[in-house]
Amino acid sequence: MAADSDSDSLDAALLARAARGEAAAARLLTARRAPRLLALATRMLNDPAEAEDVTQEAFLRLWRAAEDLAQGPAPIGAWLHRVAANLCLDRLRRRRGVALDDVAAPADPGPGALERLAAADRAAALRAALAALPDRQRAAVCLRHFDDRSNPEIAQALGVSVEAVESLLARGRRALAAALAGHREDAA
Amino acid sequence: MDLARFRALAGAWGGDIARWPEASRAAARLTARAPEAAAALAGAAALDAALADLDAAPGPAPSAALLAACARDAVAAADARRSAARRARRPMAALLAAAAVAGLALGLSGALDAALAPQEAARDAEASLAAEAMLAAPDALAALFGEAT
Repeated sequence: MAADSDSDSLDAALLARAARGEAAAARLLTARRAPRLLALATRMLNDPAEAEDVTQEAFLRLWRAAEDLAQGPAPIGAWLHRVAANLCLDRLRRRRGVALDDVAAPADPGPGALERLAAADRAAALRAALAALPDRQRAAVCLRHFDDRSNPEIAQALGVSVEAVESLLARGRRALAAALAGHREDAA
Repeated sequence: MDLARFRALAGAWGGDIARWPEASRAAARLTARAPEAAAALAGAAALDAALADLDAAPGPAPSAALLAACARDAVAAADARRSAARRARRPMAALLAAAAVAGLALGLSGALDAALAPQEAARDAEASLAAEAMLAAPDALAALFGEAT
């Protein structure tokens, strides 16, 4: 908690200096916070170039909102994360030809399958499985697991009902679990 | 809650019942006591954990180009903010200048009034005396207009 608080304070100090036009402070704050945004945006959009664009746009909004943020209690990292997630959602909405039911539901691999995967393999398999998900399923999974949004918040962000979110999450998570189980079987 | 519904909820919302839709939580906690339900919950929690590990992993380092672009944007935003502040101050400065000019004009006007006041008062007094004199001497008035009284 204290480390978080220190980190937030450092962010705030860097932002104050960046808001005065100090390029070095802006560069340092970007270096501190961009990796997490890039990871989120890459997972949500499945496109590294778009993820860079989203990250730059999120920081641009940060610079423009610097004075307002300086007076508010919101930690800058969390603020940036939420802005980046929303920018990703905007891009996903603009994409054409995305259907809710475009991937058949895979079989449930059953409990215990994931634990047998080595951590590195598991991460690689998860990244690949996430990338293979349809946009809306991937968005629902990312908002739930990487942006810590509540069920109604996810529904609102995606413009669907909570029941539809449940369906998206169920199919997305089932696909992830199945991909991980398949990876395990390949490795065996 | 039957086991099929419990499994569906666990599959969608994960292994933490506290994060399931509120309306289903109480019944789900009761169902979770069954071994099959507990197993479904553990499977969902394992996927949650794998996703949490992925989220905790360090993200890619930003490229030099991205760092430079963000720094440029920050400087540009600061410049824009300063320009906007100058623009916002400009009407205020003009207003203050106008007020100063108006104040000066009023002051000058007042000073002029004050300077002229004695002369005007004197003129008024002379006119008043002349009028009184004319009224007091109607013959003089008739003489002035060449009329016989």
